[in-house]
Amino acid sequence: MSSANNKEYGELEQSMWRRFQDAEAMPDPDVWSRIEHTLVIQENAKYKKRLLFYRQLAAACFVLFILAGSALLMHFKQDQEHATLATAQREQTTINEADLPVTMPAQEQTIAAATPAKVPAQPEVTPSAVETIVSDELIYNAHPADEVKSQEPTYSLGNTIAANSTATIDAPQTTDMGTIAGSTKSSSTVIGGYPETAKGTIARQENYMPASQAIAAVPDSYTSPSAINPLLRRNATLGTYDTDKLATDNVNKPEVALALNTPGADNKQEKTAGSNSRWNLGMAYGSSYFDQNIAIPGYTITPPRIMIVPDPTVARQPPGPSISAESEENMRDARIEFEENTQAAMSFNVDVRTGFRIGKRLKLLSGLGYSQNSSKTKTNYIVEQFIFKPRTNERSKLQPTTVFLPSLHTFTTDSISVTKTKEPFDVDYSYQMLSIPVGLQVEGNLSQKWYWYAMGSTAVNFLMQTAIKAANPEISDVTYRFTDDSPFRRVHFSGNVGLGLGARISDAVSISFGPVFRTFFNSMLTDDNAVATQGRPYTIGLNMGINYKLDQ
Amino acid sequence: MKIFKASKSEEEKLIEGCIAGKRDMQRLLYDLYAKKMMVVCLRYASTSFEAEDIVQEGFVKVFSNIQNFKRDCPLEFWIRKIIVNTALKHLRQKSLLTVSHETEEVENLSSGNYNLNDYSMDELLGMIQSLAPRYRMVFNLYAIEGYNHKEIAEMLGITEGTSKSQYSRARAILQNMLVNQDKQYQENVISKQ
Repeated sequence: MSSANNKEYGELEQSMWRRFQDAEAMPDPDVWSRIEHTLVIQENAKYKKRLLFYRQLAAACFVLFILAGSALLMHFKQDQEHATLATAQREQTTINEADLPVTMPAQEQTIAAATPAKVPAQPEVTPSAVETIVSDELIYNAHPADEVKSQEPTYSLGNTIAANSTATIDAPQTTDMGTIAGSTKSSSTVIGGYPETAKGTIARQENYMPASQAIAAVPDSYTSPSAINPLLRRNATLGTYDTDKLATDNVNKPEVALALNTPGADNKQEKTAGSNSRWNLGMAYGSSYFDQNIAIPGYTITPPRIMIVPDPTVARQPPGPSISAESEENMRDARIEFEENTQAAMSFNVDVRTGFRIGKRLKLLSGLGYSQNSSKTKTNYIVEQFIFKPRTNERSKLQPTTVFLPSLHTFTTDSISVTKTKEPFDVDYSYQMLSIPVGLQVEGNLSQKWYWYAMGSTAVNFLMQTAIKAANPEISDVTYRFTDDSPFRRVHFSGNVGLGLGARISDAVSISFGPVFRTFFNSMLTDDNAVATQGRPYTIGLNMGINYKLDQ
Repeated sequence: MKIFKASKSEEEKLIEGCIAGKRDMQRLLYDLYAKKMMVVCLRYASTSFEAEDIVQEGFVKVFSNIQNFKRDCPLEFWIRKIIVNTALKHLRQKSLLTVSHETEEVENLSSGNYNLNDYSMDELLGMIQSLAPRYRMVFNLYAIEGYNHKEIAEMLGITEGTSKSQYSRARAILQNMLVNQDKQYQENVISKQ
């Protein structure tokens, strides 16, 4: 309007401008009440949207809480089961020991690590270094089951055979070597335990063969460290097994630790696996609520009313299709009903993504996804459209629809009838999309097993199919495919954000779950077809994924 | 109804009240500008009912977006702009439905002196309303709102040349109407004599 002053107006324009400059006309008093009504509906819709968002957020949090709780419970239950199983195995071993004249092989024994283990001598016996046992000389427990059982703390220190496993045992001086050998076997496991053994309560040992015999009776398969595990077996075949060398050799340490199933070995192994993995493959499934956010235009049809005509002899055609007052009223109600009843509905998304680690905590993700988003409404109204054939002037009826569908198009019909049904019926809208997402994921460890992640991505989504299904026999379903002439956009851009927790179930496999929010950057309808102000669709949901490290 | 003329500070209070969503303030604003905006809408619409619909939709937009009013122009100007845009959008949606009269031949008359004071407001509105929607839009935007053809072309998504030709057609039709009205009036006077 800035250029208005620079323009030259003719007499006609100036006269017109003067007449209309301060002209006023009273609108119908009803207009204000209609404005007020619309404002109330808008405010309610805003409130309802906010409420829906908080409800969905609360639901997502609740589901997340339940899932996290279940996962933790399962995790602790598993640990407990492992502990119970271990105890049961130990008990079983104890029972077996009781049956056997010769007791457990060396791998079941505990020998103090690195520094030589000093077994305190009993008060009655003068302590002296009696025997030195090199690690590959095995110690056999000749104790009865009840005694072994009472020594559980010794076992629980771990099944570690120290590399430098020289055990010096102080034993009673007063006993002969044969007895000492037997006693040694006993005292090595009793460790600060049974004075009667030290006292030389031979009566108790009568049930057992002498230690020297016991040693002799033990088959080689029990006594050889190479029998303990394959690694040691390999070493044994390669040459002499030198524990001292093993102890000092740092390179071999992890291998030995791994072979001996020490906890430290697992840590290192996991770290190595984690640091070497750059590529990973993931599959995620997300269930969500999708809000299509399509607004029905407030005005789409014009009733055939007589306007102000300067010359009464000039007949004027009313613009737009003709509609009865009742239908017009129904149309208005149908629009309001659509605004009020249309709800976000259950949707899902499946993604297959490849991840590439670009930093210590950062991962680049891309892949392919498929989603089916749904929305639903309940309506009471059926829209019927009629056209007159140009030459024959015959009136023909188009396929009845709901208010949603005719509102996506500009009417091209001659007349419209909007009827109210006795019972409301459901209308479901579903949008199937193929997505190509690209995003970043940051993750960090919470514990050895658990980790957290936060991700953000953008995606290009191709709307493969749109279906509008009404649960009313009069209304036929409508389906637009990718190639069809559809009022919906074919290509949509969206942004995803999500965070959550993950659990490593093995070196290569992990599972993750957490809430995810996706918003589209454009409306469902194309600009040409959006006769009302359109919102952008969005989804709120829960993402569950499984990841596999490709290069271990 | 008492006409409420808002001073600068009162207008500011009115705006603040509307931003806060106070219904009484919204009503005051409506009462203040509805009549003027109704005339604007009548110029663009085909019927008074349609004009009322535009007023309704326009004022809902005004109340929904009043927090975006920058105060760099008079409030009336801002409201008028919204109303005009709403009317254009309305007509754009509807223009596909109506039969275009753009092909009809119009006799170009030489410009003369027009004393539009002899015509009632209803008669003038009726003449504008009887124009085809495209002509009506271009005529209103150029002759009354004061936009130039380049601006009109951008607003309506047409070329500047189309805007000019449509305006000259609209002008010619209106001139014809005025001449016919004059003739009819004179014939009536003669027949009465």
